[in-house]
Amino acid sequence: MENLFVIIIGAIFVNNFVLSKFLGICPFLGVSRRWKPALGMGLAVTGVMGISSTVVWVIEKLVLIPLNIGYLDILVFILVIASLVQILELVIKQYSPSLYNALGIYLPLITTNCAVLGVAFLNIQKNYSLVGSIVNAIGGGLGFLLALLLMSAVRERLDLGDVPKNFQGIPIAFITAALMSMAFLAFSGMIQ
Amino acid sequence: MIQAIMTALITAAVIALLLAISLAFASKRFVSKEDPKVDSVFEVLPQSNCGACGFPSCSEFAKALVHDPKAANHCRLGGKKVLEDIETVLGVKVQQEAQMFARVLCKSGSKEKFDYHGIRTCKAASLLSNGPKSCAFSCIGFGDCLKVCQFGAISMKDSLPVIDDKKCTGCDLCVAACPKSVLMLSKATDTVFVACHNQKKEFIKSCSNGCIACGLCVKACKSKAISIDSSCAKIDPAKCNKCLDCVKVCPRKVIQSQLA
Repeated sequence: MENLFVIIIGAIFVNNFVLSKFLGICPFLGVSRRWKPALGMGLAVTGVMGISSTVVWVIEKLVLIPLNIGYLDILVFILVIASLVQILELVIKQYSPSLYNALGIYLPLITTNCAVLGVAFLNIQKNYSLVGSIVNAIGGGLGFLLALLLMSAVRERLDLGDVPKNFQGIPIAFITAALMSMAFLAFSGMIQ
Repeated sequence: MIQAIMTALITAAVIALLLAISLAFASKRFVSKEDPKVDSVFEVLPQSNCGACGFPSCSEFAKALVHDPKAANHCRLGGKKVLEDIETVLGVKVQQEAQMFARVLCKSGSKEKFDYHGIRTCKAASLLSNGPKSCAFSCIGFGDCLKVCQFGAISMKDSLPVIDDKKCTGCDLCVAACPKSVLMLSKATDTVFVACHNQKKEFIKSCSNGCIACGLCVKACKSKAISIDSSCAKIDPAKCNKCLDCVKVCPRKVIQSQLA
């Protein structure tokens, strides 16, 4: 039985999906200009990761493996994630139109976010139990949220500052992300 | 072998079918009720999301208009054409609001009281002991107004904003962006104004081309439209008959007229 505390610390800090594994960079750079949409995006991704990991784990363990069709996992995982994101989009559109407009195209892009698919595969690879998978997924989402919030705070200040013209916008964001990744290396070696 | 293929196909098909059913269910359950009229009103709006109407975006304005068509004259950017389109779509008649322009109430004659090396925005500079200019009401000149204008109506000349009346739509964004309230919206018909808004007598000596509150304009005005306190003159547009006597008599040439 795996240690849940180790899993969650690993998912948020040591093996941060954005800053250590470099997954999910598209929304990381696209939604991190202001902190409010960044918060909304991070929570949406956490939700999608949690729910999709649960459903995917159940399908993998109860349907795909017993029927010996484990090779269909890529297809089935993408189907599940895509449907979940569509349902989430409908829910957000109804309950918070301003968040829906702020996220824009990045909300359906969660479907192709490799972090969501990545966490699903990681759970299978590491052979986590159902609880372990959920904890890993939610931890991964929280790590993504943390990276997004930190990035949005830095980028809001960068917008006011004196950045050379050719570096303004995405180039300086990439450099900032690289520096943040190096900073997060400080956590490596904390867990096995 | 064929059994393996069939198993894979059927399982994938069943999973896809279940997901499709849940999606169809969700799309019925989470329908955002939208009045079709909102869409038809939205289409005739200028899509600039400038905020002049008081709403954060054109879609918000469209939603509000369906509830209250009388607000249709708030769209200053669209002007008469958009007003008529809205009237056609909603089937109501609304009175048009007066056209407004932004005016610059400063001639930037005060010197710098310290060397400023901070963030080069007016808002940041104004936070450091009332700004780097010796007059606390002076224009700082870093162009926050220019950055926020969506219509290219503002250009900076000698660290002072210059408004192009042909492009200005009166959307109010530059007025809100200026930390010193140098910019002010006034009706297009109010052509005479005082290009100074000093509120403290002590700053009169720090400015080389601002209002000195000498009172010559008050004496020259036959319609008693100008009033003066200890620091600056003010023109009441309701009483002004645009004779321009005050413009001729002002020793500092602070009173200006913007004839179209």
